[in-house]
Amino acid sequence: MPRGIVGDELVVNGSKIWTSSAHLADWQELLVRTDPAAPKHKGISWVICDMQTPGIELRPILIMTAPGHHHFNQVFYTDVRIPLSNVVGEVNDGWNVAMSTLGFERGTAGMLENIRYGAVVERLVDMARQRLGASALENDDIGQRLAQLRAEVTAVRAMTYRIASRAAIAPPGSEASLARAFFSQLQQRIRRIALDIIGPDSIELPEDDPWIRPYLRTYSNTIAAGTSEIQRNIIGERVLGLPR
Amino acid sequence: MNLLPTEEQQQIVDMVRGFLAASAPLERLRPDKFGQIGNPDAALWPKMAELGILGLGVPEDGGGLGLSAVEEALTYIEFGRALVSVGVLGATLGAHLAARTMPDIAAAIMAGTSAVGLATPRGAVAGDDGIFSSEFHLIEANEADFILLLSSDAIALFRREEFSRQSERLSMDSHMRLMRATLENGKPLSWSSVKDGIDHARANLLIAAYATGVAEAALAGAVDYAKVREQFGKPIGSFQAIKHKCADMAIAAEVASCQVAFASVTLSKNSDESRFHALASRIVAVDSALKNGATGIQVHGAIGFTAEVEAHLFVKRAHLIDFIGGDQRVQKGQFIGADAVI
Ligand SMILES: Cc1cc2nc3c(=O)[nH]c(=O)nc-3n(C[C@H](O)[C@H](O)[C@H](O)COP(=O)(O)OP(=O)(O)OC[C@H]3O[C@@H](n4cnc5c(N)ncnc54)[C@H](O)[C@@H]3O)c2cc1C
Repeated sequence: MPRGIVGDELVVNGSKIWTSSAHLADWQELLVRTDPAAPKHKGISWVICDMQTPGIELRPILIMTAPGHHHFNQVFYTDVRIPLSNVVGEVNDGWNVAMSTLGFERGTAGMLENIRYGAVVERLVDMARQRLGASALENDDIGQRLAQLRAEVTAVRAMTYRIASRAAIAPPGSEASLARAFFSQLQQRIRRIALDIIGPDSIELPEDDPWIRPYLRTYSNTIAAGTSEIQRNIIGERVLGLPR
Repeated sequence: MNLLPTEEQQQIVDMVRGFLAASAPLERLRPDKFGQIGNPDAALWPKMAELGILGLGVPEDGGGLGLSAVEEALTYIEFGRALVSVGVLGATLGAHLAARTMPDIAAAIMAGTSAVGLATPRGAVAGDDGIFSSEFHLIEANEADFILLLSSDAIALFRREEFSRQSERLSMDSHMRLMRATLENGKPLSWSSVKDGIDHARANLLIAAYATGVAEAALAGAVDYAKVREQFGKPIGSFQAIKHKCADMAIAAEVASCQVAFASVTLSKNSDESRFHALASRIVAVDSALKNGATGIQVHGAIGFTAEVEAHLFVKRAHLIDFIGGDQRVQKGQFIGADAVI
């Protein structure tokens, strides 16, 4: 089977797992090996691929949030031909392109989520005030934890401002992992406290459920776009300069 | 909103950092340099006064340099990094309060000739219409002419004589002087309530900035050590168990420093949001200082448990500043009772 550059086309054979929303997408970003002889980060190209191209097949993957939920896919490629003009950056320089898009995914792309999570915390505060009473909340363990979460989600917004301030000077680099690692775990703590406020009814999964599915979804936050452990490796080695 | 220091702000940071590196290196707190009990920094105040540091944020017509809360917060991060005696907080906040109505007292504080100790409540404070009664801890008060009282409801400047039954205590953070004392219907020279004005927000912001410096210094000490200490033929920083602890410390320090920067901007603009953001900064930054102080000891192993390196100092100073004006439990209770600013 031919692979790599053939004339003015890239011929792709193989498979890729965990592609989010491939079943909904018109296009996808694809990192493909174009120089099999080069060492691991070299010889990769970043190309944009039309999902309608012949030879692309999907296997849906169900996820843990609720029965039947479909989020990502395994994608199979059989002799998929993509015009070379779809390569972004230089051929064989895809790693650098991917690192700059990932920098944005880990850094600035989270901005909207940060703001949204501020509102989530306020909904939790309202719910806790209703259930426990506003003055009881001030002395309750749930109130203490909510105060901490409220302060932390406020700080995340400040972290985003700092990332934006840095991005005005240079594209986001390894420091983006500081905010990313913090925010992904903070989201888990925020969603987790909902169950403590709701109490026993949180084992139900109602049709219009606003809390349980989002809670379960946060388990992916410390995995996708680089796990928390990988983020900590990056912080340790590239931000703090610790040895490998 | 730009959350990086401007060039002029960076120059101030460098000036303060250079001064502290020369006059107050962390090694001064080692037992063979100073001993373990007392305040090693009393001699710093006049020198800091000369550089204008004690009246940095006081308006020019009040005799200060007229810089903003942003510059004040940046210098307090440096004070935290160097573990400067927390008496400095008494001077800064006392100068702010005095400058409005008592220019002579403000001038003496900013000149470093009158020291200001801190009073922090040991229980509930009775204080209506500016008359205060309670039991307090006095911090760095031995040579002070004035005492700055900080509770979660009020900030007030007293003459030291107003406090009765002053008796010395040894402190967990032994690099300072601690007393117990009582106020019975004490009348302050000047005061303001948490509800009116920005004094309380400034107090929380500066405590947060100091805590950020503590968190950063604990991180720096742990990372430096993890690069040089070798076990099993490798630097310990190459083990993920240690590397990830250091990464968590870096995250904690970044969280604190970003929220301090944000809160300092809102305070410099006299924004209504500044009280909320200053309190948020205090909560995250004190948390970071406590966590980094503790983790820093673990990263050092047994040497971290000794008085011969700095690691143990950070967690003790973090506990001390936590209690100034009400600990995390009190602050969080107040914070969750307030309306959010989103
Ligand atoms: C919701 C979701 C959406 C996703 N969407 C996409 C997508 O659109 N496109 C795409 O390409 N990918 C996507 N991914 C995949 C994601 O990038 C990977 O899951 C992630 O990088 C982790 O790889 P892995 O699952 O193989 O875990 P593994 O690498 O097998 O990790 C397993 C465990 O070992 C730890 N570990 C692994 N290596 C190290 C190390 N060096 N040091 C310390 N610990 C280590 C991990 O942290 C983890 O805890 C998605 C994942 C999720 C959950």
